[in-house]
Amino acid sequence: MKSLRVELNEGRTTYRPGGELKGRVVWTAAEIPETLQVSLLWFTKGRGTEDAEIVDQVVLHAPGLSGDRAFSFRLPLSPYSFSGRLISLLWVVEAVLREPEEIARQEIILSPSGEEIDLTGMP
Amino acid sequence: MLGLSLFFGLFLFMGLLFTFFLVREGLTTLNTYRWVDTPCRILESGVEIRDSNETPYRFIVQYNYEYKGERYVDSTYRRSYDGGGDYTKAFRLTRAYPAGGEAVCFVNPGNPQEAVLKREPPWMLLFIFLPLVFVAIGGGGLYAVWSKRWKSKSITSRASKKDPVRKEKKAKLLLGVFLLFMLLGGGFFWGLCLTPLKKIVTAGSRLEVPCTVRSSQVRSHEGDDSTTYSVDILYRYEVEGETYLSNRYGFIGGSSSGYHGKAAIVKQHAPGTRTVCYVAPEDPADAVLRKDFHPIYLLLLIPPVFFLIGLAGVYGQMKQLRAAPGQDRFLPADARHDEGFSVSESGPVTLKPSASPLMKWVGSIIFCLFWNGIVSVFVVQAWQAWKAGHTDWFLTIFLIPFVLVGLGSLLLVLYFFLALFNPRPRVTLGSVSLRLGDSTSLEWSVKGRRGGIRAFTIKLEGREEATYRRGTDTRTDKNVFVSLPVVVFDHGLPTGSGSAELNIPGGAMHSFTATHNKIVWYLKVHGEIARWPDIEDEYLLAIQPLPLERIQA
Repeated sequence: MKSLRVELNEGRTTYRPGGELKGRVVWTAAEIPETLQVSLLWFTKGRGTEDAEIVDQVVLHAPGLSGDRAFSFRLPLSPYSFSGRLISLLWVVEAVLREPEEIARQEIILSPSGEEIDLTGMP
Repeated sequence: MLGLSLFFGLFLFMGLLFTFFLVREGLTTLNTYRWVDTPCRILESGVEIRDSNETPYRFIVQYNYEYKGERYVDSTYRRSYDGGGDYTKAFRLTRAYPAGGEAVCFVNPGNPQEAVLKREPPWMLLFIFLPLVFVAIGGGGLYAVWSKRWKSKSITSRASKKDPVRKEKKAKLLLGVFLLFMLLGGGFFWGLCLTPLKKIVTAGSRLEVPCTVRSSQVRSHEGDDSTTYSVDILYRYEVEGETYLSNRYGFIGGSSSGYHGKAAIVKQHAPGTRTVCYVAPEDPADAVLRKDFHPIYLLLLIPPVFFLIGLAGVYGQMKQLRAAPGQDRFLPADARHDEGFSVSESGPVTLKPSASPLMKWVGSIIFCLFWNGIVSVFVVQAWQAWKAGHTDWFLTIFLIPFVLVGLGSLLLVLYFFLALFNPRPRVTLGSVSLRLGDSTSLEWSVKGRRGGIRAFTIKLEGREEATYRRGTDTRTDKNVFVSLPVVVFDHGLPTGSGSAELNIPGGAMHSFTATHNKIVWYLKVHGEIARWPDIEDEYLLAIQPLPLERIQA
């Protein structure tokens, strides 16, 4: 039975800029995969065409049929997670197993306050 | 996937086919540069008038030459030459290669029976990049369709990597594209537009000479989708005892849709008609029937527009390449310290508006000229058809919204012209190195006539900008998410200067720039003036995220 999941240490989903994000990726594949990528990235959602940028990434070649691997990322100072009327910016840790493709994601919030910046609530 | 594969496959196939033909032709042309220069004697030289819509006037020549002791006769002027629609060009060749004169021809050493008087210019090979663009689109598209990466549902596959080197490569690639625009626009302008423009400008110096129409007709030119028409009036005139023929009607040739207008012109110039033509005093072979301005001449301004687009693009990409890596994520593209600020970041800085009143006015003029220039060509056609009693209702109704936009653009030019005389605000900040939660001093002043200002405000605003495609259009939606007053005068402007405190909200989002989505901060200066364009200026700010020490505190 195939499965792929991303687990963050202590189940944390909110982080401050400049901090450290630690977690592990656990997988069981139906066929021997070629690569396992774990990426820290942000992407936009909303009215505008999606922008996305990979901030950091670890790649395992020939990771094996199943496994459990820890990872750690140094979080950048920006951009913050925010939500506005037209645009939202989200941070995510995404694991991608290939081939065949399996994807697992864990969304996080990156901001100084630990909460997503709400642009709709500003004066 | 099958449909996309066929689509991109066709692009690839056509691109490769055209590349093949261009390369083959180019190599054959280059080969003639190895042919041997040989003296030759012109036996015959003249202009053949043929019954052909595309190439009615052809320079015909016969010459002899000697190569390795053998005598040969040939009649090839240039390999790909088969005449044209301009009589004067063919006539000039008879002057360049007069019967009985000597010339130099180029003989094929591998086949001495083959010779030419003029070799093709090799610059045709420069056009090879055009079909290569189709090859790139086709090949790239097929790769994208069949690439497993493209079929991936992961965000990772869609994301770009934070790679300053890659961004620099992209900026350099775009720089190359815009340089190409400049070269093409400049090249076309130099090669095709400069000469007619010079003639239009010096039209007043032309000599009015009596001429007689020898033949006249409307020539039709079959295109892929439609047929276009051109006026071909061949007339005879004399200058200093010498007889010339010309078929130039105006300063530029070409064909266009609209048969009736051209038929009316030909009817007015039936064979035998005596009229006047206008001859260039320095070149009697250069004559036109009509020397007044025609809106179609505005098409000559299209290549310079391409040149200007290329120039603007080159400027933009050079700015990107000069920017410090990692900074462009915070700084709006037109608010970098070398653009928006007059001194270094740490001291007081006088801000520059994102678009000056002069830039707005010039921009409105360029748009107005471009838009009305193109629209006027069709308006003239519709008007000529109406005058001839063949009103083209579809064209007339179709043109209405375009004409309205054109009229609106004229009003806009007037509006921005009046705004040039507005009082000019000036904003100086204590520091532009601003972060969330920071405060700095703001000094403002207004120079010029303040008496008409009914209300004056300076606000700090934050705005979301989201760009997306809808069909073939690219749109940008904007939303102001915060507007904080900094300076407010509701009843006139009693003083010409003042100061205030600028406070950046601590819990807001910093400046952010991505390809399609932005968070932009700016100071908005608004001065309401009765019965006159208002003062409207925006001064971009770069609000940076909190530094590490403030987050950890």
